[in-house]
Amino acid sequence: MILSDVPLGDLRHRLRQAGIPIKTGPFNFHVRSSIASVAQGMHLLYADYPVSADTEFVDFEVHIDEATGLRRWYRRQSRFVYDGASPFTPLPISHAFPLLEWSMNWCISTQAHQYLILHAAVIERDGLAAILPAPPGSGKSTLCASLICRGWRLLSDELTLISMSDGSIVPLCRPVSLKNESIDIIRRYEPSSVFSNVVRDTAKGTVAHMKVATDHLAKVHVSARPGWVIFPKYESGADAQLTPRSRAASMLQLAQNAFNYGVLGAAGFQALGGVVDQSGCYDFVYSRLDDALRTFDALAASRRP
Amino acid sequence: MRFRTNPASVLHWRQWDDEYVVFNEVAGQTHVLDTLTACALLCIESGATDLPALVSDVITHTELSADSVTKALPFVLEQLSQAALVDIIDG
Repeated sequence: MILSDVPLGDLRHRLRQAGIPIKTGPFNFHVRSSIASVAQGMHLLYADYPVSADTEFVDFEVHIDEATGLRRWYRRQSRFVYDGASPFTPLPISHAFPLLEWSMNWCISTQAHQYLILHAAVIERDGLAAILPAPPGSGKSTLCASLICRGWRLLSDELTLISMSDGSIVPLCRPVSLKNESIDIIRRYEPSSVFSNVVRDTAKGTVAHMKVATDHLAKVHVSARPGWVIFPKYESGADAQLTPRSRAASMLQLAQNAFNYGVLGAAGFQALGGVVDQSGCYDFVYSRLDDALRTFDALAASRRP
Repeated sequence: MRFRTNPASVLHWRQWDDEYVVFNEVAGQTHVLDTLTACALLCIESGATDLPALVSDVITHTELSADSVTKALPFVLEQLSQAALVDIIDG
């Protein structure tokens, strides 16, 4: 059973009552919410995701609810509730769906220590993963979104999961978060792309989430081997330029971008070292998405036997 | 000058060509080291405890001249000490 088998009215009802368990990559999330925009967002963006059986183990219980303070009388708010606590400050009710996405990221990044988790997008071609770590504003998500519209497979736009048992990169395959100008850039680049409602004035600016293509979801169980670590940087007017960079410096920067490198200790060091061992490390400057695509495709072609 | 690896450290290494990364498991800190610094730390790990022995060991394992190694090592040792990777016992 997938989520689109549940009519929107039923989904609203189930989210309000017992909640609904959905599987995203290796995780089962049990989601509850009384907020209509959460049901609408899930119905649109998670339509093709499996609904887990009620008997399956749930990794994370996520509750997006209306805040109950005095403020609710003049300004409705949404809040994330986890294990009876609210880890985040309540947000305006219109931010409820992005709050669900951020809350799911928070659950994984703070607790899924069976993975070394990097704050990085990761895409795949021919079994090899390109990890794209970068600070906000570098164009990482825009680049990731454009490449997955042109033959690269999405593993994750935000959290790179490196298995601590075999060093493979495990797909998470959740909707791609885009901000500000990137939303219209990708809409123009791939007119068939499906987006959630645009939400303005969040802490990250204007945000919208892009639906993951069905063929990417169909391969969510297929892990990838590390292939490249590429630090992207958008520079207006720049020609696409891929420059080899130090592996040692790349490892250090990846460690700084990891959520749980410190938690995992020596095992995290070995896992990250394994990623860098297998990867070509590069800086990548770009301004035009088609140029970036050509560069990435050439990189993939260079590794084919 | 006498020195030793910090007894409260457990080191793990990665090397790519002339780049080294060392992770101190006890402190949870990761350091990128150049060839000379990495070689000095490895020689101290292997038992070099004074400057003449360390100079000799480092020259054996690198293509650097005795003169350049002798000049650079006090600064390298100071850096390793500040990173809590090496204890300088007496200066």
